[in-house]
Amino acid sequence: MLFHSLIFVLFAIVFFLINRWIGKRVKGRLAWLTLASFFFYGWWDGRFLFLILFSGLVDYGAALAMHRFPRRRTFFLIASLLANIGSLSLFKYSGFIAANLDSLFGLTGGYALTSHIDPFFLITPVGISFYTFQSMSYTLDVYKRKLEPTKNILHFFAYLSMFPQLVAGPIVRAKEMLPQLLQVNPVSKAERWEGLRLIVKGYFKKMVIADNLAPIVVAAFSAPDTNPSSLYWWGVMLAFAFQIYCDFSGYSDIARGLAKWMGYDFPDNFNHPYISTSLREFWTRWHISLSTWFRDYLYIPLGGNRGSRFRSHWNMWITMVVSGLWHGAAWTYVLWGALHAFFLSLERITHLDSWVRKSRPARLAGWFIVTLQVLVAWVFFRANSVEQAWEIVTTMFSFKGDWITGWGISGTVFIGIMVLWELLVSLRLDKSFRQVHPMAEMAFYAILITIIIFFRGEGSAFIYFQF
Amino acid sequence: MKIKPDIVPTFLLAALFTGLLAAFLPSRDDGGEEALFWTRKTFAPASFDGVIMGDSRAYRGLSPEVMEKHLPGMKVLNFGYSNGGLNPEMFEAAGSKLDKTSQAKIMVLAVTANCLTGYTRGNEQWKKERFRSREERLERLWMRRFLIRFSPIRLSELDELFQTETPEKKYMNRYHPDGWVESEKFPPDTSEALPSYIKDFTRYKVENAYMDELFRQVKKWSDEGITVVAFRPPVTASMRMLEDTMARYNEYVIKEGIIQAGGHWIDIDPSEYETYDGSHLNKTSALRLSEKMGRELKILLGKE
Repeated sequence: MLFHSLIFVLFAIVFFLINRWIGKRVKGRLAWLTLASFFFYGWWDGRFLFLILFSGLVDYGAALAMHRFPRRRTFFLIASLLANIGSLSLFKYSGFIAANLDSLFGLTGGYALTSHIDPFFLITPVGISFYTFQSMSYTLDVYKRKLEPTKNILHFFAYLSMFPQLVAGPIVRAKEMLPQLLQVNPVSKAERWEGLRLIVKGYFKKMVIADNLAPIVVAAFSAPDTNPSSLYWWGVMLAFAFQIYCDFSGYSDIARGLAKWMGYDFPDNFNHPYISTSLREFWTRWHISLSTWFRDYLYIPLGGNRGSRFRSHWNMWITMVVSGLWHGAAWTYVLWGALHAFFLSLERITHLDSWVRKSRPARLAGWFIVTLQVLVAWVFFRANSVEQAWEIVTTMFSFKGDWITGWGISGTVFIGIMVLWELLVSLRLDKSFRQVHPMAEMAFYAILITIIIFFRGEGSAFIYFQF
Repeated sequence: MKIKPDIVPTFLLAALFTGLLAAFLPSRDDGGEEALFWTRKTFAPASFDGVIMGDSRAYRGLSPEVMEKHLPGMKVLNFGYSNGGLNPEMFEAAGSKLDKTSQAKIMVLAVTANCLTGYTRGNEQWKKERFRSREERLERLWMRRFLIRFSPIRLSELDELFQTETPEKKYMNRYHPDGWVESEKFPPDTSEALPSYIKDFTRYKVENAYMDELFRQVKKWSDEGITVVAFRPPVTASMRMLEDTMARYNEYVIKEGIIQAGGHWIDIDPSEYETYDGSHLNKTSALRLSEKMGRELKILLGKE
C-alpha cells in the first residue's frame, strides 16, 4: 500500500482508531499491529505474505533454539542465514544470476537457464531486502548474546512486520524495537506534533519535490538517444539526486512520524547527506540504518579497520559492493557500490576527510568534490544499463553541447527549494525557524499540507520499494 | 496559558485553505479522463465477443461502437495501446478479454510494421497500466469525481507562458469507454509522423520470427474457433512506402501467412482515408474504416 494514496489515509484512520480503542492491552496491540501490517503488505500481492511468514518463523525459531541449545548456536545461525539469503537469492537474484551464467556459457534457447525460471520467481517482492535484513539482525544479535530472544511470537511478528517501515525502512534493530513494543507509553501532545511535522515534511518531500522532479529524470533516461549536452546531464543528475533523496527520506520521515503517533521511536535515517564535506561523512548521513547495518554485520565481522591498511580497504570494498548488490540485481548497482568504494579509498589514501576540516574554503572544496563524486555515482545507480551509464558519464565530462539544463520552470523551482533548504541547514539557519510562535508554526504546516495537495506531482511508487 | 502547537487546529486550518482553493480554482480534468480510459481498458472484464489489437493506429482508427451496429448483440473492445506489439504477451492479454461463453468470438488485428518490430516487444504502455498500483486504480475508477476538485497545479504549464512562439497546432483527443480514441489535429500535417518513424525503422525492422509468432497465434485462435481478421491500417503513401522499404514490411507475405493460418485478411484502400499526421486516422476516416470493418465482419460471421 502506498503512503501517498487515499486508500492508505483510510487505512491509517481505521488503524489509529482501533489502536486507541485497544488502549493499554499489550497483547491486543501486538495482535492488531501484526494483523494490520499483514493486510498492508498483502494489499500489494497477498501471495508474498508467505515470505515474511517464512523468514519470520525461521528466525523466531532459530533464535529460541540458539538460546535453548547454546552449544549449537552456530548451527542455528547458519541455518537462519541460509534460509534468509536463500529466499533473497531466489526472489531477487535468480534472474540476474541465470542471465549472467547464460551469457558466460553461451546458453541460448531451451538450454538457457533464464527460460527455466518460473515467472513467479522473477517478481521481486516489495521490501524483501528490508525485512530480510531486519529479521537477520535479530538472529545475529541473539547469536552474539546482545539480545534475549522473545518467546512471544506475536511480539516478534509485530516487530518484523510493522507497517510504517516494512517495505522501505528504516531498518529497525530488534534490540531497539522489541522493548518499545512491550511498553505502552501514552503519546504526548508534543510527540503527536512531532509526528505530524515528520509526516507533513515526508509527504512534501515525496509528493511535491520527488514526484515533480521525476518526469525530468524519466524523460532523460528513457530517451532512445542520449542527449549530447554536458550541462543537460549534470542538470538531470542534480534533479535525480534530489528526487531519490526526497523520495526515500520522505518515506522514512512518514514512517517515523507514524511510529511517533503509535508511541514508538524509529531511528533517523537521513541527515542532510548533500551537505557532506567528505564521502565518509556522506555515508554517515545517507540511509543511516542500512550503513550501520552493513558496518555492524559485515564490515566489522570482516575485520573492519583492524589489520593492515590493504585489509581495511578490502573490507570496505566488499561492504560497498555488497551494499550495491543489495539495492538491485544488476551490474549498474554493483558498479555504483564499487565506485563509492573507489572514491572512499581515494579519500582514505589522500586523507581528504581530515584536510577538509582545516578551513572554510577547504570544507567548500570538500563539499564540491563529494557532490561531483555522488552525482557521477548516481548515474550508474539510475541508468538502465552499464553502456547507457558510460555514455552519460562521458557526455557529462565532455563539456560540450547546448547550454540547457532541461529543468524548465518546474525543475528550477523544486531544485531551487531543495538547494535553499540544504543551504539553510549547512549554515545552521534552519534552527531559527523552530523558535517561531506556535500559531505561525501551525499555519506553516497547514500551508504545507495545502501545497502537498495542490502541487503534488504525478504519483508514482517510492523508488526504494523495488529494493 | 502558553499555546502549544497541536495537530487538530492544523488539520482544520489545512482543510480551510484546501477548501478555499478547491472552490476558487477552476476544476480541471488534468488527464483524469485519459487515465480512467486506460484503466478501464486494461482491466476490462472477460465479457467481449470481439477484441481489436494493435498499436495507436488501432485505438485511434477503429470505433467498436460503430462496428457493433453491424454486429447486433455483440460487444467489441478496442484493446490497442501505444506501441503495443503483436506478440505473445499481448495475445494473452487480449485473449483474456474474450467472453468464453460467446458463440462468435472475433480477434481483429491491426497489423502495422511497428507491431512486428523489436521496438514494440516491450509493450511498455500496456505494462505501465497493467502494473499500476491497486490504490491508483481504485482512485481512478471510484474517486475521480472527488479528486478532480483537487487537481494539482503543474508548474510546467508556466513554461508555456515563456515560450516566444504560441503553439500553432491543436490536438484533440476524445476518449470513448469502448477503447477508441477519437483524434484530430488542426491543421493536419500528413508528413509530421515520418521523421519519428524513420528514426525507429533505422534501428528496428519487421522480423520474420515475430511474423511466425503471429501466424502461430492466428492458427491457435482459429483452431479454437475464434474468427481472426487482420488488416493493414491505412496511412499516407509516403508512410506506406517507408514501411515497405525501410521497415521491410511485406504485406503480401503477411496476408498469405495469416490466411494459411486460418485467418482472414481485409484489403483496405488507403486512398479512401485521411490521416492527420501521416500515421493516424482522423475522426471521419476512423468512422469510415469502422463502418467497413463492421460490414466485413458481418459477412464473415454470416450475419447477413
